[in-house]
Amino acid sequence: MRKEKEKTLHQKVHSDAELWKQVSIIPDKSTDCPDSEIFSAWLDGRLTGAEQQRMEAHLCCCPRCFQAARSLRQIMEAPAEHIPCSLESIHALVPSWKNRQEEREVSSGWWTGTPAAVRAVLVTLSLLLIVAGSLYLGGRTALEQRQFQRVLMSELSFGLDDYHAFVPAG
Amino acid sequence: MLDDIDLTSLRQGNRSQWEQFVDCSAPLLATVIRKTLQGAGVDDSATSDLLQDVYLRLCRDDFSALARYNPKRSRLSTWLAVIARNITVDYLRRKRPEPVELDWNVSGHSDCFQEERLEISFQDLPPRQMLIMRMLYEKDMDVREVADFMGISEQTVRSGRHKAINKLRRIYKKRKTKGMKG
Repeated sequence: MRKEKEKTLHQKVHSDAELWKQVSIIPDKSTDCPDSEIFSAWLDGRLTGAEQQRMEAHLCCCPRCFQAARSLRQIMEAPAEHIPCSLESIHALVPSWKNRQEEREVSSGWWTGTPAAVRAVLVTLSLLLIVAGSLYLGGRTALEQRQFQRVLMSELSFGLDDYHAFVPAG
Repeated sequence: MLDDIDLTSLRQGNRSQWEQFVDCSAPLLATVIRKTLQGAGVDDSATSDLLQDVYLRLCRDDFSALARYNPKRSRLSTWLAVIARNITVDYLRRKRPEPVELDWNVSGHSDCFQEERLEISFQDLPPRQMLIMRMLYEKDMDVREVADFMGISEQTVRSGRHKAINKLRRIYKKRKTKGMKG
C-alpha cells in the first residue's frame, strides 16, 4: 500500500518543471537591496565570494532588483543610442559650480566672511574706542598732574615761606 | 574614453574634463534612461530632462556623488548606468505612485499540487542553484540567457540545474517518506 502511494506521488513529479512548480522558497530577509556600488560591482563581476552569494540570494527573492539587474545587463550589452538633446547646457553646469568654489575659498576667513556693512561698523567702533581711550587717558594724566601740583605747592608753599624767611626773594 | 577622465581634476572644477566626461557618458546614459522608460511603458520624451537630472545629481555639492565612485569596484560606465537607472525609476515612481506588483512567477504554480508544496531555503539549495532554477523555470529564460545574466558559462548553468534537480528530488522523496511514516 505504501509502495503504491510512493509510486503515485513520484509519478506526479516526473518532470523537472513540475517538480519546480511545487517548490516554495523560504525567502532570506536578511539582505537589503544592494546599493549602487554593489550593484555595479556585480554587473562587472567584481564581487567577493560572500558578496556574490548574498547578491544571488537577494536576486532570488527580490523581483524588483532582479528586473533592474536584467534590464541593466541587456542595456550594457546593447550599442549606445544617439543623444536626444544638445549637451551645451550640461557642459555649462561646471563654471557656475567652479565660481561658487572660488567664492567659498575667498570667504573662508572670519574677517573676509563678514559682510561689508558689519565690517564698516566694527571699524568705526574701533576708531571711536581708540579716540575715547586716548582722551580719557590724556585727561586723567592732566588731572593727576594738577592734583600733584596742588599737593606739591601746598608742601612747597609751607617750605617756601620758611625758605623766603631765610632767603630773601629776588 | 570614459576611463581616461581625470576625476580628481574634474571634481576640482576642470571644465575640459567635465565636458569630456559628459560627451563620453551621455550616449550610454541616454540609452539607459530611454530603455528604462520604454520598459515601463512610458514614452521617452522625458529622456533629455532626466539626462540633465543625472548630471545635476553628479555635480551637486561639489561633486559629492561622483566622489563616492570607487574605481576598484566597477567601471565608471557601469556605475553611471546604475545611477541613471535609479534616477529614472525614482521619476517613474513619482509619475506613477501606484506600485506595480512584480512577481517572479510567469506561469504560476499548478493548483493540483497545492497540498504538496515543497518548502526549501538557501540551506537546502545554494543561492546560485536557486537563481538558475528560477530563471529557467519561472522566467522561461534559456541556458544562454541565464549564463549571460549571471556572467557564467552555459556549462556552469547546466551543471547547476542538474545538481539542483537531484537535490530537490532527494529532499522531496525524503519529506514525502517522512510524511507517510508519520
